[in-house]
Amino acid sequence: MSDFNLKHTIEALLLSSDEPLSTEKLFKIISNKHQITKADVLDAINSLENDYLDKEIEVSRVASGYRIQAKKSINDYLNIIFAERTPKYSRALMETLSIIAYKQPVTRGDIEAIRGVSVSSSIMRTLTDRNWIKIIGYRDVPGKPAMFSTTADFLNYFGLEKLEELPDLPDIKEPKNLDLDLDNQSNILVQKESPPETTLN
Amino acid sequence: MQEKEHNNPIQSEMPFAIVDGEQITELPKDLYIPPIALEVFLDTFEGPLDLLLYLIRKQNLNILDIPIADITEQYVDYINLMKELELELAGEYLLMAAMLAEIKSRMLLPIFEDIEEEEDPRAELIRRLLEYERYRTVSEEINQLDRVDRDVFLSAIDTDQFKQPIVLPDIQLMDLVISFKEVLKKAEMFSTLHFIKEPLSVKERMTTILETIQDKDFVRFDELFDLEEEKIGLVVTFLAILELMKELLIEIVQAKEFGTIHVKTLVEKQ
Repeated sequence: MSDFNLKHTIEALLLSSDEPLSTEKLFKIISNKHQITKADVLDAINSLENDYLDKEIEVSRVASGYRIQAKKSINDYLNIIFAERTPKYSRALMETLSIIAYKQPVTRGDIEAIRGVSVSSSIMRTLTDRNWIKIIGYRDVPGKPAMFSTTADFLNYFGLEKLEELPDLPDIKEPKNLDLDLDNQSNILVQKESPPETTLN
Repeated sequence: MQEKEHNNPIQSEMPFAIVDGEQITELPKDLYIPPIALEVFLDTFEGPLDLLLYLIRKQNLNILDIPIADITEQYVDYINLMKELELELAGEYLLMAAMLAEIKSRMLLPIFEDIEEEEDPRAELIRRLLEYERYRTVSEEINQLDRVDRDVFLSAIDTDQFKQPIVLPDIQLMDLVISFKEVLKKAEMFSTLHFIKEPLSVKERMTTILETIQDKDFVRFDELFDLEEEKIGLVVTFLAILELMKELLIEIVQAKEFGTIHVKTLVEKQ
């Protein structure tokens, strides 16, 4: 009991865990045996972050909680070790994933409408298998199509805490402007023809 | 290795495509796609919208004012080429070709002033192109985000050795048979466990007994039983006697050991 060190315990848990651990989860695990508060957990994590300042690892906060990862400064070496582990994803997959991320909840039909091609089942399977997307319900229209949204694992994978941290969706030039331009054009056409009539009236 | 070297010169001389039986070693000049780009990106388009955007952006055309005739021509050239190269062509490409042809023909129609708010035939296509381009752009940005195992490497202590395997008990076939037998037994109990309305009432019998002993000081215990009755009747009588004792309405007396048992009323005679 006396040699219990919260910071070291949390460090070991984060290092060993397959998935990020939230403050709630860390608190739940540790408070079983030791009298601690959630504030203690947060303090310990902060202290851990300070410890790592001059090391090549860091505590990173993502959607599901905290994880310990290597600093990017040693990526050159890590890339050699993990050369084969780097998965590449097709543009089609990234586009499909982006549409789900920004427009969720979406149906396959929504995705098809934007991309102009039918949604590949194998892409949807890959996304589901990686647990980046999930079905969160069925739209109440004929056929009851499944609606997809992204998961916490998706955010974890891209090192994000919440959806708002995704890059901004580029602004669309309002089609309204387009309509206005077209209207002006047609107005010009109409005006060209109409002056005689107006003078008559 | 040798085979490879042997094959290479032949491959470089291969015709680029065969159109109507003619070998084509040069790309058509009226195509607006640079040949190298065409060869490299031949099958990388993610659909008709992607291809159209490519054609538009490549020539720095204003997306809001697409020269539809030119674009349609280039687009059709392109999908014809894809066909010649026997690239599998998704139906969407043909659908888009039809859509472009329709827009083109509608653009040729005169604009009638009395039809209010007639939309530019290209509007819907432009809207779709712009919308698709947003997601195409942002998906490239997402692709650049730090990714686990590519840009971010997580701590990975192998903790498998600490994971306690959950040992499930071995089940012998006999155990299974025995538990099934018990289930059957239980089911049987449930099936036969129903209540039959008691034809003989203990209360009623209590009254009868009280009446019998009312006038007498003592009644022999065995006299209270009607031997004609079946076992159930005898039991009811016995229960009635016990009940009466409990309620302190009668008293059981035995003069001496192994002697006759007598029943005596405790109700005050009026």
